[in-house]
Amino acid sequence: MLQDVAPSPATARAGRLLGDLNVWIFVLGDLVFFGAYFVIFMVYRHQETAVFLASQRHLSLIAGALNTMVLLTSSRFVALAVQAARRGESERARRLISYGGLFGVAFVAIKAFEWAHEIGHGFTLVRNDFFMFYFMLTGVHLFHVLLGLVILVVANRELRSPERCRSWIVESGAAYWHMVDLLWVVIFALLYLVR
Amino acid sequence: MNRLRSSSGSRVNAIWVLTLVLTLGSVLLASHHNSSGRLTTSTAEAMAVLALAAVKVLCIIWNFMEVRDAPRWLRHWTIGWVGGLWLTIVVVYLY
Repeated sequence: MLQDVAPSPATARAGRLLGDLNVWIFVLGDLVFFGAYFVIFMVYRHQETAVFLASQRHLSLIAGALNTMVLLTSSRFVALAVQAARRGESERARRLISYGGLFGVAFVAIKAFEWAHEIGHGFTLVRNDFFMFYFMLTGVHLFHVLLGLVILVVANRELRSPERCRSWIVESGAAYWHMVDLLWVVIFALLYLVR
Repeated sequence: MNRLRSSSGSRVNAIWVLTLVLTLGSVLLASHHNSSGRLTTSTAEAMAVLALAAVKVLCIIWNFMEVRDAPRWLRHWTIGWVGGLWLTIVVVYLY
């Protein structure tokens, strides 16, 4: 079992981290990095509004929305997996993490299909500044998704033997995966929706 | 134990449904066509889309990442990140 469901009053007052502090420092650093990237994107968008709006129309709103719902669903499974692991339900937790990972793989597949479609129509990294940001932002995010999938596999293996399960690995993996999810929510809003 | 399982699982499911609904809502907001048949959003619609995205991000941070139970410094840091980022995005968009 990862830990008791109800924390002690002292712990409740001080608060508790989902996972390891070092992973949270990495997560917060990533949020700063992506935050700066989002602001730079908005500045370029402001300077080249016509180019950005014209280019944005070539993105698939359906693919973007589908990927958003796929990642949100994946996060749901991973959040439920952490709760199951805390109750000592290792098998259920492993099953839920696997579902979360499968939805992560679906995200990668949809993104690959979307990229192939864009590149097939001549919209490549060097087409203009909008597509440079599109491929860079979604590319760096995709790398995070792939890294997250590896982390979910590690968390799944960790749950194989509950008696020597290191709780921080499962919880830290979940915290990282949710960060990947929330970053996509911002990317979807800025690149696909706001015109 | 069952009651705790039920309440914590229900919360996650409720947040998940809420974020899905907000996603569909933001897609509908961004699906207006102008007179030449092109997708467009008014300034108000763009602000609404950004607001819905902010709510989704806060839902993920607060509930899925369990920051609501985290130490105060982390709660302040994450809320500050969302607030600072969204304020900057809105200012640059409206400028």
